[in-house]
Amino acid sequence: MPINQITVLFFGPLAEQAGVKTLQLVDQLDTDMLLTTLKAQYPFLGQSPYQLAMDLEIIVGNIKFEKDHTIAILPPYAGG
Amino acid sequence: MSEHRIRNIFVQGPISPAFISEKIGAHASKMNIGGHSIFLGQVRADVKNGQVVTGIEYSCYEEMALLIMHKIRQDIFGEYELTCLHVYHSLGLVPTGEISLFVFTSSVHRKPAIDACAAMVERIKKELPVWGKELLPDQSHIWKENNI
Repeated sequence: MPINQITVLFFGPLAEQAGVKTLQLVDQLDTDMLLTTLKAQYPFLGQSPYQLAMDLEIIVGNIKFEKDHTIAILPPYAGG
Repeated sequence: MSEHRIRNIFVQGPISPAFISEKIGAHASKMNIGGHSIFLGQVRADVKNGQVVTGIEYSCYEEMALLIMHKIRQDIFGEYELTCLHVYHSLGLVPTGEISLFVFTSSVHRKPAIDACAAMVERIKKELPVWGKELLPDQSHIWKENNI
């Protein structure tokens, strides 16, 4: 029984480079662990600028996962 | 004025001049308005990699963008005395020369509308999770990044 399910959303150039828009990962403890897992599969994340959003809100620093969450990887914006 | 519902600001494709004039016309019945300020963002024919951009294809994190826009609207209504505030942003393909952003503010006297419109445009560019592919004639593209 996994401790949690993390839905990862990619956008813009990062979705294009990853070749995927959505991923489901389990048993991630916090955002640091999640990013380590993601960078292993998508090394370009190590060189790309992005912000993270958790459950529709921008987050900064390492955040522990208490339950299932949606983490969005947001490259620099281009709206307006 | 408090905002209770989350409005959808996104429209598919370019924002037409007819749409803009229809929205202006719709305010004729609001007799206390003395001034409107309007900003229109147009897709520019930039030169990238020696080619002229033919259009921008917009995408967004819609759920988050609508929440953020709701918050920005509340902030702007709190900071400026407005009667109305409308924002429309294109998704999908907007060809060069066409409109991709329409910000429309109204107030009893002109200054709040002018100032709020400018403030809203800056916040949209800074805070809205929207992305754009600048399309080139050879079918390649470049991802746009805002200068803020």
